[in-house]
Amino acid sequence: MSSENQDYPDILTSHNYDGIQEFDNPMPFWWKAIFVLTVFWAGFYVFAIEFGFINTYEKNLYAENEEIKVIRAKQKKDAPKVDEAMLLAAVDKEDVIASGAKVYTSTCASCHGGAGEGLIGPNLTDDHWLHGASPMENYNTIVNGVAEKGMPPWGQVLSPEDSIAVTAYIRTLRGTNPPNAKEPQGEKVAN
Amino acid sequence: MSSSTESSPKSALEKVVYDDKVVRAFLWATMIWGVIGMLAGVVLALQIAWFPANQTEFFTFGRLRPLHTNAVIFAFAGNAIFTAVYYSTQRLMKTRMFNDMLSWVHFVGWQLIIVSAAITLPLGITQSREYAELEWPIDIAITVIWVVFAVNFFGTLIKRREKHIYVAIWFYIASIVTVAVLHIFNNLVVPVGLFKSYSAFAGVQDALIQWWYGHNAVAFFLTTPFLGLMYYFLPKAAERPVFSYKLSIVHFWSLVFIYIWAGPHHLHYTALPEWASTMGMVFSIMLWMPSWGGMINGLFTLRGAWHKLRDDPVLKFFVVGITFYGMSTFEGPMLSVKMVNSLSHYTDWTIAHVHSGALGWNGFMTFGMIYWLLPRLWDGEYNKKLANWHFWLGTVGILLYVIAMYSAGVTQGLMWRAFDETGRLMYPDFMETVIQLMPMYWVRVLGGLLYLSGVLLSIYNIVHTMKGGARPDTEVQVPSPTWRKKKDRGEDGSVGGRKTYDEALFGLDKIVGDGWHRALEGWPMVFTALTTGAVLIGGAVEIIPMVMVDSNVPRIKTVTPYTPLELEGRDIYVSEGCYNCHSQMVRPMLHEVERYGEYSKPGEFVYDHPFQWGSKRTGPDLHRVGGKYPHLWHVRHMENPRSTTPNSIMPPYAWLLEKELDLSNTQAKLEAQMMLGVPYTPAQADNALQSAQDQAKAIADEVAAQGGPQGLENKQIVALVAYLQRLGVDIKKTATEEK
Repeated sequence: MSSENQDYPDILTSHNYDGIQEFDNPMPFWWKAIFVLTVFWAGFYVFAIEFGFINTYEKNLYAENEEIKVIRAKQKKDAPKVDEAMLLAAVDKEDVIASGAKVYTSTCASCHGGAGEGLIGPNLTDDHWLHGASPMENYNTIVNGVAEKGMPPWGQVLSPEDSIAVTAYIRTLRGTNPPNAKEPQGEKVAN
Repeated sequence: MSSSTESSPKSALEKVVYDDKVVRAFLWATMIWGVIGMLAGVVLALQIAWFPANQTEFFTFGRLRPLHTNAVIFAFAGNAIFTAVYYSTQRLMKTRMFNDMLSWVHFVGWQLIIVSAAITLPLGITQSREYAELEWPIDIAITVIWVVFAVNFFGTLIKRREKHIYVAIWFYIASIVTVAVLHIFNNLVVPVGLFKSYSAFAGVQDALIQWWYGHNAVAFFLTTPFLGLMYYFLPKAAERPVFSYKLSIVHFWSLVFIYIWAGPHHLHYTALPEWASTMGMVFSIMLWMPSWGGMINGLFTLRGAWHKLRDDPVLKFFVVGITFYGMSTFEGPMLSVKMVNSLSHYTDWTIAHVHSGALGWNGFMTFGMIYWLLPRLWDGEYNKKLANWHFWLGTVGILLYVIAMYSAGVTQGLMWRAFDETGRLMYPDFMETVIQLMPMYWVRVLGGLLYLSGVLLSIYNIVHTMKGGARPDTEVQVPSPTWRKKKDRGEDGSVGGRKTYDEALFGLDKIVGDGWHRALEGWPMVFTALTTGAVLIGGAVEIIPMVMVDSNVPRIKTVTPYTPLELEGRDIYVSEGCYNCHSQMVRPMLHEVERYGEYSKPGEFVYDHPFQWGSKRTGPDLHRVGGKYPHLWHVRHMENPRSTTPNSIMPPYAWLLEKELDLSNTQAKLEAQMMLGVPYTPAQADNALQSAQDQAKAIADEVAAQGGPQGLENKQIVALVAYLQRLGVDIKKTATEEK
């Protein structure tokens, strides 16, 4: 049957192990060729990364960072300016409040409590405010964070629409008197 | 007969009786452990798709997964290897095994080790090293039994009647030697009592050694012994000569030399220094053809025998098994390319990759061998129709499994890295990327069930074959070896006398007349020594500098050892197997830095005995979780993950809030860590209990003040919370202190 195959001579070696025989065939050319290529490629890669032709992890991270900075700067410039009126208008839109509630649950609830009653973060349902009570001040607190108090800047994570929605949602929590409410912190602000 | 036995007419025939009984025992062990290991796999698949399948603290995903991997690797594949080695070595060496007693000690000892694994792993007794989870007393037992196996195997080579060793034997030699080396170096620990130990290495070094082991367990437990199996059983079943002897030689040596270097590709983009990663990557690429050498020699051996595939289930299993071997040994090098790895790592892509190897290559080669052996070991015939059903159920099962996991892996990898046009993460909530995968997880359950049902059919088939009873041990007549020197001389009558140089040269010329490698095949012990050398080089070049050269792990001043309570919490983290689903390694990629925080530095892990970097993110990375949430969040989350994270698939760990925290060993644990070089003072060790209790009280009080449950200060949860809150925070201290 071996004669059917033209590619390999199929000459038997003298070996015989428990009836198993071996052909003395050459190794396939393509097999040897690819093997040699991978060896050369390995040498090339080591050379290239050593002499800076291929980026290291840190260089890649730096490049990614530069790229995103440009995108964010442009985004900041192009984004519509958020103002008090825009935020107040959002409070009346049901769909905006619904999406704000969603953002609140996934982003804010772990520190401010599921109903805004306060946990590690302050109570959001009372009339006392640490960083200002106006919608614009709330919005800025969310977007820029308060580093010294451990409030992260969510503007890097949430889109402007989400930040607006969650600001509006938080406004609807005011005066809801949830159970287990945390004691008031900050200045009392008349509504 | 081979040239070696082209003997003088004087050579008498000797009767040899092979030990087939022990082969039957290993065969049964293979199948029984196979069913148990694969059943555990199906349960795990179900637990991911449907979290209520996590039942009791003993069978959560984190504790069951090591049981699954150990059972399929060391129990199923392990016993399959032993079946192949015991059957084929006797026949290739034309002698009974060296010592029957050792054979049975090996058999019984190995099964007892597996039983002890099945008991200790669900109890949470673990070293947390993947595929080396078993604690130190079991590791010692493994060493002893492996030595018994080695003595028995090499003893058989020494008393052989066939002068030259066949390629299957080469692969067995490489496997036995290398597994011993890997096992010993990856299990160097300092014990704290019978059920707990700390790795001798920490952080980066520990990770490198573990993945040098982990990768080469795949190489020398799941690849080389199965190539040996293939080289014996495939030409036997196909009744065709092996395609190329030259290819056997070149692919054997290149495979054993190169494989060992590739371990660091498991640690791309981690805190492992990049030069080691680069080594791992380039050697993995070079490994492609040496691996494929085995596939070519397998598939090309079938030239002229393809028509037999139609009605021989054995060859069907072999062909598909070898094809999966070819696929996964192409995929392996591909995944080792850093750029590909940046997408695939920590996702289900890796899971797909290992299962195409394990289910396709190891599983199918094993089943092919077993069907071939059945009528030779028992007086009966197996049912071919059922065997064909087994084949098709298995094949469809594998395809469903891997296609589901490929799509899950790529989907999640792409979602993790996606940014929207405003420069924000598209899916900042990790849960979003999990929910997307649920349909794929159900398909995996189905694939696993199909594969398992095929195996159950084969069990029925074995029982069916056994009805005729066991065959008596095979007897053969073998020419007595005339190539042994002493005998030669005795028969010639030319006794004594030193050889002259001319005679010695003539002798050497005769020996290497068929090529130097042929000569080497006649000296199994020299062959073994050379193989060992080839294997040791790669490991030594990568590991020794990492352990010896300090600049590989730059120290960070603010990184200090864990407090006694945090250390206890870390042990709970280890014991629950959290590392099976959570990594502690933020990679230097923008999307990871955005999602988790500053990327992980080598100096942050210098007190991590053992490291907990993990290899899969079924849940999010935890390296920067410290300080991210209040204590109460963690308490609620551990009690019921869905209360803080809707749709979470994590099992609840409510017992952590009920079980007493055991601090009786805390001091001993600190002292053990001191032995490993962690800079605790003796006073800190003496005061460990008090310190742990104080910190526990402080955490419990804070939880209560935040409105959580009262009186947690002596529960396990406070230790775990203490540990989680410490994760990844030390590096931030620099910033605050410098202000």
